[in-house]
Amino acid sequence: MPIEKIDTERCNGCEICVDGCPMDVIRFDEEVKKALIKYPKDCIACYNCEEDCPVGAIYVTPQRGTMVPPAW
Amino acid sequence: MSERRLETDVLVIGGGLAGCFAAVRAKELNSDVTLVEKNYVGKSGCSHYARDFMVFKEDWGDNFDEWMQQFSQIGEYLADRRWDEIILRESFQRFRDLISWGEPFYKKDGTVGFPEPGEEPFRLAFRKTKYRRTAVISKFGARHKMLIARKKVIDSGCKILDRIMITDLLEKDGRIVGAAGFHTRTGEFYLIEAKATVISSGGLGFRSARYGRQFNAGEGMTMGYRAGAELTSMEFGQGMYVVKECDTVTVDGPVAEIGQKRDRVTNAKGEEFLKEIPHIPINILWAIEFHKGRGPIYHEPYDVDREKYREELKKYNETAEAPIITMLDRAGLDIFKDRFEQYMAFDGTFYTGGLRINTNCETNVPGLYAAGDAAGTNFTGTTYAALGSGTAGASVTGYRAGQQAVEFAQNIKDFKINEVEVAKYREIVYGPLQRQGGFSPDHVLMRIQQTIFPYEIRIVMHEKRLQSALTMIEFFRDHFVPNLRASNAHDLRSAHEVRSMVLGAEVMLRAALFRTESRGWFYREDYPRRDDKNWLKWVLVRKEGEKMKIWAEPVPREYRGDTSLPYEVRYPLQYGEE
Repeated sequence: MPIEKIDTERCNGCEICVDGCPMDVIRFDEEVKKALIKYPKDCIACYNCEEDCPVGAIYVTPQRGTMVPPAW
Repeated sequence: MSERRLETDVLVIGGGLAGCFAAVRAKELNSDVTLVEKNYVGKSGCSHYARDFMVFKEDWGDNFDEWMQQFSQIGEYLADRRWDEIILRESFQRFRDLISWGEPFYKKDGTVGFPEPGEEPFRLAFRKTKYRRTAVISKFGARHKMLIARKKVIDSGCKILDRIMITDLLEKDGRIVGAAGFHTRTGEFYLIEAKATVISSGGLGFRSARYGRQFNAGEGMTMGYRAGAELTSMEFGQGMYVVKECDTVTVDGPVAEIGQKRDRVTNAKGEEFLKEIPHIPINILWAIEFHKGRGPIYHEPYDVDREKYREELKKYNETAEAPIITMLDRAGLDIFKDRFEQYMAFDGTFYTGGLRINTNCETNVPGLYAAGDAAGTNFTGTTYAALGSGTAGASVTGYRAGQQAVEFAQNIKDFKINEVEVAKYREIVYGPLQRQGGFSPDHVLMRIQQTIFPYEIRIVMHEKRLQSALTMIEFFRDHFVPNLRASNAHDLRSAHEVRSMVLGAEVMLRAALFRTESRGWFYREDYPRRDDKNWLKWVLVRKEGEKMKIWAEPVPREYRGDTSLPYEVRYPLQYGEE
């Protein structure tokens, strides 16, 4: 999955990534007040979350890797 | 689950650049405006990932006839010249609007700022080739250009509803009177009654692999279709090569800008099969190379200055697009040292096809307007005419759609639907949540992508293969879609996207089967040449009863270019072995 982790130690609960995720992959964990990777299956590696995270808590790999046949 | 009912004069569905323009313009004309978005206005839509804005201005040396000729030629004579003229003429005013909203652009000296009204911004001019002459574009100066647009929408007094997915349009007396949907996190049912409705929810992307198009499932087009709206040019789609290790992006944009003269691309035999890279058909040429059994295809290491490239990429990063440096580094790819493999990804229908509109952005269904990629302006004909044309087109059509929707809304008194109808929409929206068994949206999504994405279906096309894909899509339509099952609000969103994609795929494949020729990015292996005699026509699709009606309409004579020119001159793009 492209989105690998949200470092809960670093996450400050600002919810920028929760708002910015175009695939609703990231939700907010109300209990611990941190961002949570809820539906990683739908991550599209757009990097909105990692790029906008003010504390550098998110890591995304560059490959979606599942659905395009390589054509040869 | 609870429900929310709202009433508004103008409902705008989709909060990218087109939707923001529609909302702001409608509000300027004193309308009550509601903008809904299935994600978050400010970080969604293709516009969030866009970097360029095409702005035409004669004072800056742009030649109107030359641009018009280019649209015609690149669009292979299916470009709608009414829209070409409108988008060119109005692009400057929309550019100024964006600056007035607080959108920075690159200035001529390379700094980012707010150009004065008469001041020409930095504009990237394309090298002149026989394919392209005059594409001159300016550049957004902010990565979060859409957050700036969001602020403008809110400051104007429009209401924004984020995370609301619209699934169906409300119909009353042959008019559209709003839409129904749900909140993709709480699952709440939303019913929004409106005097006029604008669809600006993007292209039919099949949740494509390509960066910046991955959330598009064509819901606006397909809900319009179900409500009786005509679709145009749905056979035209786009495929592009992506870097295997970072499979959502291409890396050649910045390279061209810093002076890479020629991409060196080799096939499995080591042959450089692209002697000269024309802008437009390159994706077709690649796909044909694969088709001939000469894959894998590699891009040879770039021979431009590495530091210059990284600098340029940083600029890319600051203003939009993928964080390519990060992606390449994480993939362990050094594109200046190593050759890298690329393969084909199909995007779906963007730029040209969509809900057929007149120059007032009205569809054939009263009360329904369309803008941006959801709208079929045909302004770039079969292809993609120029960098920045998507954002310029979205701005111009959005503005017009907002304005016309207000005019329509002013005369509407009765736009309430009855409770029986409400119950019907609730049933449609929640259908997948209520089923005990059935098919998960994830399963159906994967099956659709596996049917549509292979290069031999929609890039190198053939009747037999289109037909076989259509057979599968019909099965999905009849068997999977009525039995889609979702267990939460998140998956309900996917279920409705899948429902849209299956219908969109059927429209696209039937339209592709219908056009028995090749033209621009539309390549039929079984009909490899343009057929000017029979196919200077647009293909249209409409729902008639339960049937899909498909027909062709000739483009006006004055759009057809000089038909007496020799084939090779009229069509500088050649598919290889004609």
